[in-house]
Amino acid sequence: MMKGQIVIGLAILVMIVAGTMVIPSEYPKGNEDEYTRLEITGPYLVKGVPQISSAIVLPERLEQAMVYKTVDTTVSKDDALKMAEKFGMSGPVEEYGTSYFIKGSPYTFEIEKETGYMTYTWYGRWMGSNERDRPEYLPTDEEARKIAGMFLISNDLMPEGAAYSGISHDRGAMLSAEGNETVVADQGTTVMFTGRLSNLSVVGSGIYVTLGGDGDVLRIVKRWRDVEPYKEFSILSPEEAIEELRQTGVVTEVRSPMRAIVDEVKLCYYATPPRTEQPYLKPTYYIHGTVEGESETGTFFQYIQAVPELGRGLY
Amino acid sequence: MLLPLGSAWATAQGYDAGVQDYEVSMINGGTGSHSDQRLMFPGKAYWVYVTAEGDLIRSYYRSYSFCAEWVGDYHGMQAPLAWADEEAAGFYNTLAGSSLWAGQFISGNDAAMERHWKDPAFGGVDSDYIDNAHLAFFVGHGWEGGFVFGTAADDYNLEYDEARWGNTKTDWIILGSCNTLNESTYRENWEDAFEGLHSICGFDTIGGTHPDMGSHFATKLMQGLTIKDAWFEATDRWVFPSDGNLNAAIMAADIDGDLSTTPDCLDDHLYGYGTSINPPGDPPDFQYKKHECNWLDGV
Repeated sequence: MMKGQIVIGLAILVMIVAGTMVIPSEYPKGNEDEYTRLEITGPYLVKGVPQISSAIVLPERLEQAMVYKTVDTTVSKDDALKMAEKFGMSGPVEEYGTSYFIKGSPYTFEIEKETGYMTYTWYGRWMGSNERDRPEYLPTDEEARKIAGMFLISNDLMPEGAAYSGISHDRGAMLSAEGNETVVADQGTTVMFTGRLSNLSVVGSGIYVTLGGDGDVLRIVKRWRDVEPYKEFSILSPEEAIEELRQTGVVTEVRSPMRAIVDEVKLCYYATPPRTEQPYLKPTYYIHGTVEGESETGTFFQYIQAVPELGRGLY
Repeated sequence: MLLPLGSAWATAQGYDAGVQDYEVSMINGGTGSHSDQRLMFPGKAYWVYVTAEGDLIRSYYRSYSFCAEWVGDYHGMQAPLAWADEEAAGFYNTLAGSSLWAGQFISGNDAAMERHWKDPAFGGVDSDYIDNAHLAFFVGHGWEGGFVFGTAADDYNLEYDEARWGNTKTDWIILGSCNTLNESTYRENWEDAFEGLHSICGFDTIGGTHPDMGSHFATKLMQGLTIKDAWFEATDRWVFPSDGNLNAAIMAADIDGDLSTTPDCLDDHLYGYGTSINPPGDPPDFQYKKHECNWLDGV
């Protein structure tokens, strides 16, 4: 009897040890209830935050705002050529899949037939490693803004309603001036002009100009949603939008967020990439802030669709 | 390409139209820089010196291979990832339309496994899976130290120190996963994974998925853009507005330690669609670029 108990005990011990060995060393932690509780309204991975507060005076409530209906954009071969002519290109226009092309030297022009999404790029220099685009040769942000704006206006390329909205910098690893040390430095300055409707920004819809050394244009991209007014709707207040965060969660890199503090709330329109199905552009709150996790801090953002009548989905 | 000639060819030498000069020759039976294992590209000019009569037969087999894996369903351990399947399938089906590239496999959700990406030295079987293809594409959750699967085979996380890519075949890895090429950690984390690998594309920050992003990326590769440009074009075109801090990135092997002037793997094109450079197994340095996806400012 005793011998049998020892055998059974050993067998259990072996099973426990074997079981422990197959448990992965870094099991991805998650909370199934949390993921099923949150209402997914946008494209990014969201995380719930138990405590949300605001550190700012919230903007005044707008009672109503216009919802816009998106309008299909189609581009013919003639349209493509006319647009290319604004860049000083004369053809020939080639077709490849969903786009029209003109390959010039050094620029390549491309425009999508069904959306009007347009690029004008100096391949080889854009995001390249050209000596001419070292940080010391780039225009200052102020110069870049002037150069980009002038280029678009003088070539009749500035979309109606677009307004300057910001500057960003592409970065790359390069050799330091002293020799072998690798440094990361700016290698392109991008000036963004964002669409505006009803005096609000349309995030995701705009035109940008990337400048390299000596202010040379390296790339222009237009990603734009054509719209027409649909009708006005009552919208959430900023306070109600923050309350919605509890249902939608926030987008953040912080693991296990515990507490979020809102530091920015703005009303805007949210435009998805053209060809993504989006019947309407709806007034949307952009909410940004800081977030504390169990062992780290960071930032968060979220977009909250502001027209309750149209559900919670962003698009 | 010269296999049908057997021993009837002695040397082959390509001409680089970009720099207007001849390349280092390949010698039949040669090794090192004159190795006869180097790739030849359709549409490019070569002098081939033959020592006897022979027939050069055009190959009807596709020359290069690729694969894709994706995870959208994490069984509640991570949030589901929208469009992982469409993005991977779009890439796979579009590149499969190339006459030069053959898809080896595409696996999704629980059929995508960590062991397929892990080197045999650490118990994986990547030499039979992703490292047995010239290009491997992944869409799923990630972090600075690796990327995540939905099933524990062998575990949920492929960590950077379990990866040794290119010691069988892989030249390019695409990771549609957040933070995998974080600017602060990319080099320390991933440099040992380069065992013949040319480059990794990924995200410096949170990333984005879109049903059309994979097919757009493949289309751009087949139009002759560099892998870097195609990745930045596709992410720029298809990411949704965020908070202005979404950056696509690429980490590429540098072949000579001179980051600023000479062509490197950063300028690679897909085989058959332009030039590329074979890196050493232990690259002396790396190049890194990150591109801000610019649809986010303005609020």
